Amino acid sequence: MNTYPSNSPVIAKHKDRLYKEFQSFLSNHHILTVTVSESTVLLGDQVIYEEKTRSKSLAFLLYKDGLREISFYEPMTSRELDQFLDALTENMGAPEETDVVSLLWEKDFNNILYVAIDEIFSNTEEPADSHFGGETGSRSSSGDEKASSGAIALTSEDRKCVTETGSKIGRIDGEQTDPGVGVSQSILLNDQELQEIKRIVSDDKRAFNPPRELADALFEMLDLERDPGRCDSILKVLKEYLSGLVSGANFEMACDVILALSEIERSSPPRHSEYGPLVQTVLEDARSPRAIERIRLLLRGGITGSLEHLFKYLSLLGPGAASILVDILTKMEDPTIRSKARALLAEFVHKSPRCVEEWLFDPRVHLVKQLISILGQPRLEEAIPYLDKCVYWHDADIRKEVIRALSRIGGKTANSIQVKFFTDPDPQVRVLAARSVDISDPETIELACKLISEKQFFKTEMLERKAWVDLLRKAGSDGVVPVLRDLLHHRTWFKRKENDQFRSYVASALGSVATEAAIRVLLEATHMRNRRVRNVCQHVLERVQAEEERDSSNGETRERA
Amino acid sequence: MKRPLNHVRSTEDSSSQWFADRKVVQAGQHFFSAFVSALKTAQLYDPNNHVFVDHATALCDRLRDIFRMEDEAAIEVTADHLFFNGLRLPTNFASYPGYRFLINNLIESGVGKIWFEEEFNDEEVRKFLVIFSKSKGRSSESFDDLETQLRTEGITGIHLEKPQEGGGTFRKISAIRQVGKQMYLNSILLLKKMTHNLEPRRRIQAKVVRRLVQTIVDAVTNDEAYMLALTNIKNHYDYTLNHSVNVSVLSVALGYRLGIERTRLADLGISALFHDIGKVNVPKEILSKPSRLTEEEFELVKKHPYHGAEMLTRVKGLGKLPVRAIIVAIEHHMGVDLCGYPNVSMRKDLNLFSKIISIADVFDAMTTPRVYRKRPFTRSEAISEMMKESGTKFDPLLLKAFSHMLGLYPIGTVVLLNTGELALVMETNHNPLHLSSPKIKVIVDSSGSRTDGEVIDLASSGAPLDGVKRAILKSVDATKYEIDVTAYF
Repeated sequence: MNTYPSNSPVIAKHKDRLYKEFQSFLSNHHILTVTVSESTVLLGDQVIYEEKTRSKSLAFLLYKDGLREISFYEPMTSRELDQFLDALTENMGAPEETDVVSLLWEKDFNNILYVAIDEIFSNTEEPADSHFGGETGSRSSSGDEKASSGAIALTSEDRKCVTETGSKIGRIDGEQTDPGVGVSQSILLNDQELQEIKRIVSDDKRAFNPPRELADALFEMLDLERDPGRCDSILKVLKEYLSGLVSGANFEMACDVILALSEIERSSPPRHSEYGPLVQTVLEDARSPRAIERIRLLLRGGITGSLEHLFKYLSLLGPGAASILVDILTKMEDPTIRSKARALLAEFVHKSPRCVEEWLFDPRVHLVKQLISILGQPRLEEAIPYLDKCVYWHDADIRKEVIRALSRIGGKTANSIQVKFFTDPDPQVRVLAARSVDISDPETIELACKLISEKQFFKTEMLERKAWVDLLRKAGSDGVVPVLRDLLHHRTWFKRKENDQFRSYVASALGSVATEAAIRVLLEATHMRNRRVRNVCQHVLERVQAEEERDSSNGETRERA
Repeated sequence: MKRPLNHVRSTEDSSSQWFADRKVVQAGQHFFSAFVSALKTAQLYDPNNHVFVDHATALCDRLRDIFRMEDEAAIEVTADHLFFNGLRLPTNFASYPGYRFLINNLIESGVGKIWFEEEFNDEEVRKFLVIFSKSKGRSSESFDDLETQLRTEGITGIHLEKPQEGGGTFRKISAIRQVGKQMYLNSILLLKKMTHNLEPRRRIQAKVVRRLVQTIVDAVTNDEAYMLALTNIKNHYDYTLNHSVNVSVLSVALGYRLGIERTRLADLGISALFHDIGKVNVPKEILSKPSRLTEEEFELVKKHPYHGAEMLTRVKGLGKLPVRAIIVAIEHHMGVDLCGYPNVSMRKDLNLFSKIISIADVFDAMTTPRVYRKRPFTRSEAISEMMKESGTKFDPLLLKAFSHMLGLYPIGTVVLLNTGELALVMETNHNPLHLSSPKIKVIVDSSGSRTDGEVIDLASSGAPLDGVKRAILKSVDATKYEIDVTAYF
């Protein structure tokens, strides 16, 4: 348990095995009692464990706190055994600060009994001049004399009381007999009051939140503190407390501290405008690089505590905790956890895209791709400068990811960066750029037309050429028609069939554009010598015509209606 | 197989006996809860109803648990207390209705003791519950009827006994008392060591304190009456130390009565122990000044809540001390109406622990001899005075619960009897009908001679052993008669 994280399956396996061993023994013998000495543990007379070196000895660990005997009874549950082991582990982790007997006491076992000596008290000696008695104590010599003489006379008042009321022998139930008391019936609790007491106690237990209460208490102290110089020392307590919780991977309570601080800040009275900055100093400390690094070290050591609370804590810390999420993305194997880390990182990036900047040129390509993808959030224009830096990333996949991210962001600026990829050395990147770019920008179309008109256009693969044609098709304006016409009439000596297919594709694009200029080009092409292309153009024209007729008849029908 | 006696140390070792007894009391409490539930369902449901059968089965399971560690399982009522295998079962406000229910049923049936043999069977237990739930009457005829019915039904594993005159045989609880008193005295000495340590950061050792208070909690839950009696000790060697321990005991006792669970009782005890820690910074001359404090001096005293909280925040291993100790240190003089001190602007309702400890604090302070007071209040007078501040300084319901806990005549009260004797209240009576009839010990007889008589239960319906019917007339000031009540505890 000292070697592996608490949620390790190795530990679970060993615990399970231990419990089974216990069950096996207890089912036959019903009780297992061991005695503890300084270096040994005995079962009856038999030594079952021995280690003389104190620093290594489990026996001494128990012995030093006064534990002498432990008994395990048959109905012991696995939960009790777990708690017992947890108590021992906690003590081993901090033997100076914890006491194993105290830890066992807190577990309140039903079926594990222990015998302990209160050695911590054995050296306390009564001071010579102490006097455990009242100021009127009869231990004084005068008292002793009185004790021996036995003569105590009642006061006249008391004598009178005996004479007048003492004759009434019998119980006086529930009635006020002592005028100085006045609390007879009033101290009886009725059912309603008993229920109210139950409610108060259970409400208190439910509301019990140590971090919140500590934060409240410390801020009360700040309220009382008149010396500003001492405020720091009070805040230091809170910072150290929070730091301690984080070091112990107790993220649940750490969250409570942060939430309590936020609440204090919100609810503080107007005259305490300084509460805001004070709260911020604690939060800044929690977000400091040192604090963040501490958490990263924990994660590297496999200590996470509850992941749910860890994520909640990180979300409260904000974008400063991005490095922790990056560690999770790169080191954790569980896809669910990585997915949660990614989602939280997306939130951080939304607040501050800069938080992932330092990893955008990390050699881990997979990581960079993820971060770029996260940067690509709709309308997150603040992320564009960071994506711009990645335009010349040597990995084509990353460049493609940048294009996709820019597409999601949208807008003129994002578009202006996407067009940079029109001249990318990788054809797949160019294809993706052509398909993703926003065609509403005339400059984009102009640039595309220019590129298509260049000689090397026909040296590209068919897929890419078609992508460019599609871009012009989407643009759909008269401006693209001349370029499409040139493409339609382009002839080659080699790969004629392939070229004809491309020219047919261009014809269909012209059909989609369907402006007057486009139709004229198609009509012109119906007289072309190349029969294949000619037929395709004819077919496209017919289709366009049919669509026009359909549209116009629909329009008439609507008018009539 | 029972718990072998050779695995428990000799009874001379009070520590181990205490743990052993505690285990039995724990088992007894489980058994008691199951018994009450089963009896109630027997009264409400048909014997074949699954609700009753389930509860009866649960009771049998508890019995089997007991027989794994003990040779017997017997529940007995004496002097309005329930005992299990000779050890008294503690109770608090939450469990008292069930406690009362069972006692009433036993008394009305004329039964003093029910004991089970190891060879019992579930069917017998069910039949017994049905018969017992329908038994009525207060006379011995009722008992005889019950016995006849058990015989008729062939129940041989369950036996009844009539109430015994003068109480049954009980295991000595001296082990608990020995440990309790030693622990109490050690608490004061340990606190002294801590607060007089020169190095502030090492003053308070969280782990030692926790261990100490856990012992207090165990002592209170095992023998509340005795521990409350110990709070009569008023050590004038150092008032603050003794006072802190008394407040801790009183607070834990009240917390236990309220039903606060064990681990939180320890937190309460620690918070109470350190509630006045800030007073180490107040000059002793001011604390023990016989006359009225000046404005300046009072301002100094009013700072002790803050200083106490500050000291606690500097404790090494703060995480091991309850956070509420800091809150209590600040709040314990505020009052529920928040009109006390210190005056904090960002305020909300007082913490539950602060409310409990402020009651214990004031009560102990009022009942302690102080240089600036002619005489301390008697315990009854203190309660009466505190009631006047109910709702302002003190939470009304908690104060009432505290008074209930102490009883009409709190333990340690010296009372005047109708016989002209002076007696000391040794134990209060939980029964609401007998609040004015606690257990007493005559310490001064009618001729004025000091004596150390037997403990007499004024609520007992039987004839007194010496033939004298006693009743309390009023409580008196012990100092008036120079009586040191602590000598009797």
